[in-house]
Amino acid sequence: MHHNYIDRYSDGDTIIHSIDARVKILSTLLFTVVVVGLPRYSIVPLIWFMIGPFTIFTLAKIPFKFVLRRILIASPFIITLAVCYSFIDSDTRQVNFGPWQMQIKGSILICANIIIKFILTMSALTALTATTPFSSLLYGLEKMYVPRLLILQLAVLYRYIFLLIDVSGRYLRSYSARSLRYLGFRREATIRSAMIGSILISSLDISERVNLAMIARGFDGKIRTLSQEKIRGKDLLFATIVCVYLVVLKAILW
Amino acid sequence: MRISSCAKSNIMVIITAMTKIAVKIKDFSFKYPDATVALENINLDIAHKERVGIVGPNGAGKSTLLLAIGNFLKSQAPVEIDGMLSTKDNIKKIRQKLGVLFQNPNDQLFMPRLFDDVTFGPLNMGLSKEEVILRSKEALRSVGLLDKKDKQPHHLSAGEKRAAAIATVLAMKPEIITMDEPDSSLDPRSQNKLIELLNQMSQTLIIATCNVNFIARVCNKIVLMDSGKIIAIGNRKEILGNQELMNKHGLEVPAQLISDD
Amino acid sequence: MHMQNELLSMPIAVSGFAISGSWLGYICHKSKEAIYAEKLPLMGILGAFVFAAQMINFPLPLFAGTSSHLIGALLLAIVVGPDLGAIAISSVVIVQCLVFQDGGLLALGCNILNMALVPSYLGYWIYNLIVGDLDSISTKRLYASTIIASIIAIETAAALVPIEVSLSGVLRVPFTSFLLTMETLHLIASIIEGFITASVIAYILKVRPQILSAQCSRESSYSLRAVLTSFAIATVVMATILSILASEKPDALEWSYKDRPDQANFKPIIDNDSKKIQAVDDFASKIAIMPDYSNPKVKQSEAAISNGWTSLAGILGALITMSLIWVITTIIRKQKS
Repeated sequence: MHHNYIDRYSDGDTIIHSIDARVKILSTLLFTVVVVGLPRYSIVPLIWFMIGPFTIFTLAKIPFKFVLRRILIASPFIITLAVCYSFIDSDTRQVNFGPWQMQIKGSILICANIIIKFILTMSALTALTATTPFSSLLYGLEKMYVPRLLILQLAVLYRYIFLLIDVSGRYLRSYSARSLRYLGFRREATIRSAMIGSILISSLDISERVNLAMIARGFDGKIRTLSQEKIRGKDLLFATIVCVYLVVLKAILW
Repeated sequence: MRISSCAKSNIMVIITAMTKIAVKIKDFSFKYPDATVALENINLDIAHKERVGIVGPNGAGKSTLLLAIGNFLKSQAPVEIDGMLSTKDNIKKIRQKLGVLFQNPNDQLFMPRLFDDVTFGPLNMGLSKEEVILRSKEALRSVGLLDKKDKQPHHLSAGEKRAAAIATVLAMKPEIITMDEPDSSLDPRSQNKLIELLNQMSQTLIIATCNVNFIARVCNKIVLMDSGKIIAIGNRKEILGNQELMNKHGLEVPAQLISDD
Repeated sequence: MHMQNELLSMPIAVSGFAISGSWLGYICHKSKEAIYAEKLPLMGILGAFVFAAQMINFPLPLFAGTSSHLIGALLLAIVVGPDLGAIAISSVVIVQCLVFQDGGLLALGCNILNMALVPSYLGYWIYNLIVGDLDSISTKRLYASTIIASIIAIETAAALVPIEVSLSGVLRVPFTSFLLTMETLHLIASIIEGFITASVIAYILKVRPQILSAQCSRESSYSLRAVLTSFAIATVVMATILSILASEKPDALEWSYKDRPDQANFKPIIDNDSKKIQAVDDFASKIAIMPDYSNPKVKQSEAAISNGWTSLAGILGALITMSLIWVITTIIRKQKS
């Protein structure tokens, strides 16, 4: 089974992919902070912030459909909240858009504002993760003083996601091949719990063998990493562009 | 032709017998916590540069023997690696001398990027950054995976995964390498590639497998095991060519040796 | 339960990072001796296990066609202890954010706190209070203790969401109704989670009980202390933030969106009545190119209409820019190939 949906585009070779992970992480963080901090009622100016992630998706050859799907998957909670919020009474506001003028409830404006901001920051995060292999992300985080214990941990986690998802996929397929009807919640749940239990046991077994493999290669609990990535000219250029873009937008629009 | 190759292997056996012992196991027994006996009275000497194949049916104790050689099992009897006992001071040296290839490459490739996996061992040896990179690249080149160094292990094929696992061991430049079923789940083409790679290697190799066709093309010295005991030790022809012995222990005579007769 | 960036204000997001960062740091530091080589792959692989276990859906009995899946915090806490479990679940939350974009980057700190740290420790502590000796345990007691632990742990975690959101003050949803909704929704989820966890534990007890007995022999008092200490710290931090917010709220947030809609997030840290700031604001709002709304109290129809045209132009401009970028990149790419 292939899990291309998880990291389909992170192995690309475009200019965006080659930018240092640290620069990308910090840029995403800066973008998110700026966007989240924007005024609560504004809507139209926000679209200018879309240009940034949009440019990155275009340059990195990431299909917009993929981005859209990612954002949709992450959206239910915030959309429910925002929509609920829009029913709350608040004072109305005059909105002018082109030749049209209308009175809109402030809470609806805020709701729209939050959803757009959510799309923006999610796009930025997708832009980061879709153009950076997970191992580079970890390198970046390590350089940014995230503890090495957590880094190595995350590395192992990411490595074995694919393996264990395969295992549960196999269990589910072989179960559905033999189950002919719904057996009632209690019975079905027990069967599924047994699947989870045996995946847990095999996870524990794998971790024991991985532990042996680590010891065999001289691992003594001290985590040593090889970081060869250096900030180059193009990374600085990228960082400068991002900063200038954000500062200029913020200065012009507000 | 046949005689000369046979003679050559005999000469090799004599020469290696005179050099220093790489692995020495004496009266080694091991029981698992649930009291099943895994190894019983194992006595085995392996010389440097020797290529030893450990064959036997499933559950014969081949993997456990490799774990014993790798100093992963706690037992009263000592296992000497290059004349060193596995004491606390020695264990680090032993880990550098002895590389272990586990049965499932997925257990051995535990990092999200191939290059990180290969550098893991050399980094733990405390080498300088330049040396680590040099060694890792060399190891990857020798298994033909240098161009895939930034790939994620789950994007590699089964054959590539096996080669990658070998590279992680080679990068530590060990003198002795134990391999647990390196041929398993490989298609014939990947198997041929693996055999080619193994035959180029100059290290002492200890390979456990139940694939006799594979082992006949790599190893000279064969150790036959069954139910935790060593049944016979001898050269390729003596053990693998012995129809009666092979059949008795659930194995078969490799095709290569049959056609020789 | 993944929270998004937009629901949180900066101080809450930052303190979320501070609390969960120091909590995780404390665990790592405390169990430095325990987390040596052999536990390291264990935590990572358990994290991966959670992803695999979440693939397995449980069809819900009352609502046909719906299903639920394991969250895993309580299960891991019971199987490997709350320290390792919390680290494993925290890494799951981090990977969910960085790989699957579940939850925002800024909200990551709060998400780790809500979904990993609080449920792991609280759940483990309550489970341990009730469960007693595992060797002679009855099925009923096992299920009861796990389900109760699960309900309390998940309901507490669910309560943290409205608390953090209303502390942030971005979305002014009435706190009590938000809290009640979250609690009701998660009540069902937590019972199912408890049930699944209990049956997984029952399975492990049947197949390989030694996994669990290693955990049971451990003393539980220290984790109780850890739980209490952590909660105390969290309470103090939360209370501090709350008091700061409370003192600021009436003039800051109210002021900002009642009277100055064009400067909605403007926080008068120094002084609201300062004429200078007011003047600067007025100036800023005058030169701002695209204010797409205007204050209803001020009837400036002409200005409003021109504002309207600038916002239309703004949208078109942004769209044109993006299509230009797209066209240019495609052309360059075609020429290259």
